[in-house]
Amino acid sequence: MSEIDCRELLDRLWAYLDGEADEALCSDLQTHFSKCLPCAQHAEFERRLREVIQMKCRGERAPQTLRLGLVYLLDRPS
Amino acid sequence: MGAAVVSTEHPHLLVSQEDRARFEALVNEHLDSLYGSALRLTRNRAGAEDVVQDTFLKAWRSFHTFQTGTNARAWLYKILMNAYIDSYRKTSREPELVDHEDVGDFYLYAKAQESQEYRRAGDPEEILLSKIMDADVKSALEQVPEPFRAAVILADLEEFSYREIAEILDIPIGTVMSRLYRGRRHLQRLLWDYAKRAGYTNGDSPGGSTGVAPP
Repeated sequence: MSEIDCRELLDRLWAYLDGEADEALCSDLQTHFSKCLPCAQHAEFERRLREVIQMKCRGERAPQTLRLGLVYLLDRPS
Repeated sequence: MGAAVVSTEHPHLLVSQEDRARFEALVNEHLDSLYGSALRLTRNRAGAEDVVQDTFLKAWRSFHTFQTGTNARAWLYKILMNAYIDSYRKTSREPELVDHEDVGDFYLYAKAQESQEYRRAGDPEEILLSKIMDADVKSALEQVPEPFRAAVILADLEEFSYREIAEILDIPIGTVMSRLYRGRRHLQRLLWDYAKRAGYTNGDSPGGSTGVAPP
């Protein structure tokens, strides 16, 4: 298993947080986190930041006029 | 333009009631999330409504090519992204393609750690996250320049995989990753500006004029 340094970690952190890292990378990163508190804290911060961004930006509701207009659209000759 | 199949011209004449019911179910399931993404992309309600309407019109016209069991959400988002691109071409309002600002290595985490003000107040990350909770994150996201904004919306809000985003935007996976990286750096930079502003205006700001430590 290869040792990851802190600089390398930042390059690969996103694949890990995005659920795109393979098993080997996950295990390398987890090993690094267990030895390096600042990197573990950074990863945790990014994860929580994304949760905040999701919480603040999701949950839009389409206007009722748009919803009804779409049904009308289906019946309209193109 | 590819050769149009007759059925795409008058889908309402050829599709069955069953197709129609399936399509209406698709509208009901995905309308809110498509509208939310369109709003962040176009940055205004009228524009978002136009793009979403165009998306479902195009989706309906090519619904006969859609295979049940395939990824309906990714299919609709691909049509949405094309409708969005068409919309700004039509109005000749090109989204900002030039990436002026150097956000290369901007990390909010590092900023929080470096901030004397935040360190004095205790837990820098907690303070920063709570400031961002109070910030206008939607507006910050809308200021991230294209094409980075679309990548961030698809990954961070809609949680598509890199592969799905590559298909939706019709770009290689490596490009998805680099756009995401830059988009996120931009967003963090903008959120930092919000947090800094909040720091100056809030009466309870750490290191503020009261000079009294909380009990």
